[in-house]
Amino acid sequence: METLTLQDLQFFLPEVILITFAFVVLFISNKNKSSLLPFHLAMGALLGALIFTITQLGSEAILNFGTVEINTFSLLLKIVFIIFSIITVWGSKDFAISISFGKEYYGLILFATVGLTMLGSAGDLITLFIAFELTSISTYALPLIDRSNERGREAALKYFLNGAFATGLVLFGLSLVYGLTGTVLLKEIVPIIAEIGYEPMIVVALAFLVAGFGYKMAIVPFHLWAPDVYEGSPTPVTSFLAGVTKKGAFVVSLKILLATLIVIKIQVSILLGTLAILTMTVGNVVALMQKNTKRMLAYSSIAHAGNILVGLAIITELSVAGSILHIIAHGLMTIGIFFGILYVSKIRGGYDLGDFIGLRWVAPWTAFGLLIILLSLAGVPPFIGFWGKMVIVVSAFELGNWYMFLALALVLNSALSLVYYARVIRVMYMDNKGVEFNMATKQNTVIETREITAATKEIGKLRTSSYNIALYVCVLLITVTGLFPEQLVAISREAARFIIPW
Amino acid sequence: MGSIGLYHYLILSTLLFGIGLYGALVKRHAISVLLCIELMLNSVNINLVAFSRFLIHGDNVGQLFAIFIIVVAAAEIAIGLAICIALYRGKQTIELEKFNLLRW
Amino acid sequence: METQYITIGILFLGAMAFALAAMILSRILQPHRPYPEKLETYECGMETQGPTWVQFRVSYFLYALIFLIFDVEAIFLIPWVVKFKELGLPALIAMFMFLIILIIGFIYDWKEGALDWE
Repeated sequence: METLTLQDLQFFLPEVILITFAFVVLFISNKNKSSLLPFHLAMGALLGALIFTITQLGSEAILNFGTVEINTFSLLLKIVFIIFSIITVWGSKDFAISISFGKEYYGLILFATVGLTMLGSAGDLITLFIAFELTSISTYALPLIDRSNERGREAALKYFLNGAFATGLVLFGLSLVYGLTGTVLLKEIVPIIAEIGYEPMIVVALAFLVAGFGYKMAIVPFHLWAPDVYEGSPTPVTSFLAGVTKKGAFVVSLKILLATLIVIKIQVSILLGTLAILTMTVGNVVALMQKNTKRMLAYSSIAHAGNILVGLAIITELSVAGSILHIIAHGLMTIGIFFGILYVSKIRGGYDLGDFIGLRWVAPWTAFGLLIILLSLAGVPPFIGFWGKMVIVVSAFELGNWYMFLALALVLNSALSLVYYARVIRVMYMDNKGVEFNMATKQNTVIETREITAATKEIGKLRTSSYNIALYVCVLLITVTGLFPEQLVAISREAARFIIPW
Repeated sequence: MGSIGLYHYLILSTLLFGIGLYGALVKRHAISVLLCIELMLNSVNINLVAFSRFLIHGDNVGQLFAIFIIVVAAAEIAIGLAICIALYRGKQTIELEKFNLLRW
Repeated sequence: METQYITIGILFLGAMAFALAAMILSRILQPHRPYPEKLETYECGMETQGPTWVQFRVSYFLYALIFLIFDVEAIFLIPWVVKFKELGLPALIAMFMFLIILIIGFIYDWKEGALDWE
């Protein structure tokens, strides 16, 4: 552990590429709004970063006095986050042309991606905090990106105020951890806390950390901002916030909570378990009552936050691996489905359940893609959404006693969530002359068929829309990783070994 | 009693944090909430500097952390004010109750 | 030790009492005859012109935001300057990279017209 040598700088190459191109993107001329140059530059930067990260695979290093660690965990998360950003950028191609801040949109996404790639490799609290704030601050402005969208502005204010408030809570907790241990290096915190033993201060610190991260992750008593922000933001932004940024919050919480909870493991486990059950249940029950699919998916993503939290609450290597797997899975599913419903809203004019009627006849491939993602969200095998939950449940069964109850809650909630996912599927695959549904949506059959024929003319142009491409890419990844999960599970287990400090 | 020690600083920072927390939850004006959040962040700075001065002698990582927090807080305030300006242009007010398009 | 604090306490109470007494006394003794001119906002003895609650142009806020960011950069410069000799070349390079990033941000502001006074 010493200062950086020139050789170590290669590990920062992905970040350097991303930052450089983020600035280059910002300096493109404003004159030609429909220019694809910002898009190509952003894609090029992300692909370059991805390639350089892949070449680092297998290497391990501790750099710059231990503030940056390169290991399986950090490389896995770097690759995952860069792939998420690639899909989002690819999918937002049509969106960015339609708004006045197209290049700023790509710039902000690139900056946020830099923060996210640093999250996995940060080895101390300061780097972790800076990386996470880089992500947060870049994304605070994203809901504002479309000037014509008034709801987006309110979403931005709400997202910002909640995010900044949560930052305050987290920082207070971190300052207490620093006061207790006298170090900010994650590797050193664990042995010092174990040596000190039980101290009331660590309980207070953990309370603040759980509350702060609860806000960032939208865990149930702290979740109220999430549905509003996700509904109010432009849909590509929602997909980035829910699918990518929020996953960053999970990574930070995994790292910090695992490093600090060692002396009061059982109590923290019970606290997190209770929160997880609450989160899953509330998320699913409220999602059941939503007519607006965007809002429904927001609540569904709250429920999935609960699923991930179950893995964190069990605190074994396998359960943390399950959490990592489910973070990846839910990221993919969220990005895909939000772009899918964005496409539907473009051809049908809205996000209500009624707009999905007979989608199978209008856009069969989109409907099929949505079908697969919805099944994966509900945890139906053989898609990736199943394996994350599966690993978590297996890890709960290994430990037995009250963890069985957690596993049971997770399984029951998955069954419950199938109800509202299946409702969307049923509506999509229903005949457009379906009489039964017309009562519920108060739309009569004649209007519905007319709308479909009117919309069909537009579809020829929209079929190759970038929104669909993002959906298909996600569906492909979900299916492939779902059919061959062994590799991913093995990598997740190895990654979990690196962040569990005992 | 004695000379000013760690606990004085901790009490001060806890009080500041409490005031900020209360204000951030109760105030109905976006700028006031912003200021209260700043108060919370600054109480953290007091905490960190006090810890690094009194508990961990000769180690100034706490002060370093405080510097980074100040910078991040400035960036946060900048973007918060920018959001407020954007909202004000649309609605001529930044009272939180007036923003009712989304269910608060 | 305690006596020192007691002195401060007594001083504090005394000061409060003195200030309060002055306010209460004047409230009791003063004649109370308001008329419109008297109730106007005091502005250096002049008649007030226009609404007193002046709203500042949004351009001021844009300048304030940009100032805020570049003001805070000094917080990184000062510790570096104090330890300049010990830190040497690596810190110099690092600091220049930091400043270059900031300057790029500033040029971006300029290019986008944030500094133009409409």
